[in-house]
Parts: sequence; C-alpha cells; structure tokens
Amino acid sequence: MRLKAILLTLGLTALIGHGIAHAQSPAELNDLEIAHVAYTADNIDIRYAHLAMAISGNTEIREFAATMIRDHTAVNEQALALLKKLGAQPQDNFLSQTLQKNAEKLVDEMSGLRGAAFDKRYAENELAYHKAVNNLVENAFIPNIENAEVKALFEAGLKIFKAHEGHAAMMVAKTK
Amino acid sequence: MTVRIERRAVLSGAAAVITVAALGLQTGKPTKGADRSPRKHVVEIKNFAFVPSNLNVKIGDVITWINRDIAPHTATTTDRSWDSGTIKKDKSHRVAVTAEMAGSYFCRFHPHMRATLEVSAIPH
Ligand SMILES: [Cu+2]
Repeated sequence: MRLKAILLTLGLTALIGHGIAHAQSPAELNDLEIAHVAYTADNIDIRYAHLAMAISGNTEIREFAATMIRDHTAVNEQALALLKKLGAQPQDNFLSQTLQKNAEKLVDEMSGLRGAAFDKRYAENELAYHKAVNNLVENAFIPNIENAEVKALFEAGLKIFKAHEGHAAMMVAKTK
Repeated sequence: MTVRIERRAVLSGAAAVITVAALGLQTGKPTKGADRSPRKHVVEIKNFAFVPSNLNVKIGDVITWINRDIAPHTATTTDRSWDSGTIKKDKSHRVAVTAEMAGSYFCRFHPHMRATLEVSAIPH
C-alpha cells in the first residue's frame, strides 16, 4: 500500500502500528489541518536549508538551499494569503507534530556533520524528504481537500516540490 | 542563422542598425524602413519550463519573460554573462536582444530548466 510506504519514509511508523484507517490518518485530516501540515513541512525544509547555508561551503549545495528557502517561502506566502482570504486559521494536528519531532532529530544529526559528509547527508535527506512529502500531498491530501482554491494551491505546490525532488536527485548524484 | 558578432557593434539594436548602414550593407534605401522595426516576443515561464523553449530572434528585438509560477525564476545564459535577475510570480522582465544572449540559457534557481535563443545578427 502506498500510504504505508509514505509513512515509513517520513518515520511515522507508530501510525502504522495504530492502524492508519483511524481518525489519526493523514487521509482524514480536514483542509485546515492539511494546510497546517503543509505549512509545517515548508518550514522544516526552510530550516534544513538554513542549516546548509550555515555549514556547507559547496556552491551548488548553497544555491540549492537558497532555492529551497526562496520557493518554500513563496509557497507559504501564497498559503497564508489564501487562508486570510478564506478567513481561516491552520489547525495543529498529530501529523504536523510528528513531522516537527522528526525534523528536530534530523537537524541534531546533521548539525554534527561537516564538509562532504554534511553535503551528502543534506542532499540525501532533501531527496527523501521531498519524495515523502510529495507522495503525501499527491495521494493523501489532494484527493481529500474540499476547498477548490486550497486544492489548486496544493496542485501548484506539488509541481514545485516535484521540481525540487528532481533537483535534489541531481545533488545526490553530485555528492556521491 | 546564428552569428557571433563583435560586441561594440551590438551595444544596442539601434547601434547595430547604424553600424550596418555605415558599412553600406543595406540595399539601396536609407536606414529606416518598416522591415527593420524590432519584433516583440514573449516567453512564458510555466510549470517550471520556458515556453517556447526555442526562440529565433534578431538583435534589437524585444523579449518579455513572464513568470506564471509561484516560484521565482531567472533567465540566465549558461555562461552567466547575461542574467534577467529574479522574476517573481506574475512579474515580467523585458529586454532588447544583444549578441551575448545567444545560445542556451537556464534558470539559475532551477538548473534543469533550459531553453535556447537563436540570435541572428542581421537586423530586420
Ligand atoms: Cu526556476
């Protein structure tokens, strides 16, 4: 099952144990919870990118990280503008919290690396992270979003993150 | 045809026209004429692609790049000698074609986005 693979990639194995068909399944989040997950996921990638800007001396890694900051910030601005227009607030939820916890662990781990070891780990994580989030957005979120404007924004976002996934794959190949 | 020409001859479309005229390469009539007016071209940046991805232009023509994506993009020659700067969502960048813009270009932010400009040195 695809969703199971996604959750494994995101390190959300606890969800599988508890049965993902329950209320705590990504596919059952409402639009405002989904928006919160997306906003959280964007900010996590921005955080990884700032770490790369602080540690890496590799021009291509730095340019990639700058693009992550620029693009995820642009998407977040669009998301906030849409929520404002809709008069809605994103809602915190189990998935946002799990993503956040996993990200903290990864930031800790990557913070201890330097030079080529950092670049390689960062590129690999960017590829895995974008892949996982893209699967989640494509298979669990977009089919379930009710508001047409929110759905359109996620579809536009998915195109950006798929481009990032391809870009990250290039970076992984270069840091091998 | 794609031709490399000396930079001093192409400081601007107008300069190129004057130079060509001064060299006596024009047929008969004096320099102006309807067939010499620069053309306008539009390249849309949409879904992480330049559309059209290949464009035939002449020096002095005007190209407008319009970004239809949420993500900012650039149009930058592969050797980075020419760069549009950041083009944000729904913004455009308009520029008169110079010889140095000839060849392949890409988006500096998303290097897999590639396109080409075929720049012909002969004015309209
Ligand atoms: Cu781009």
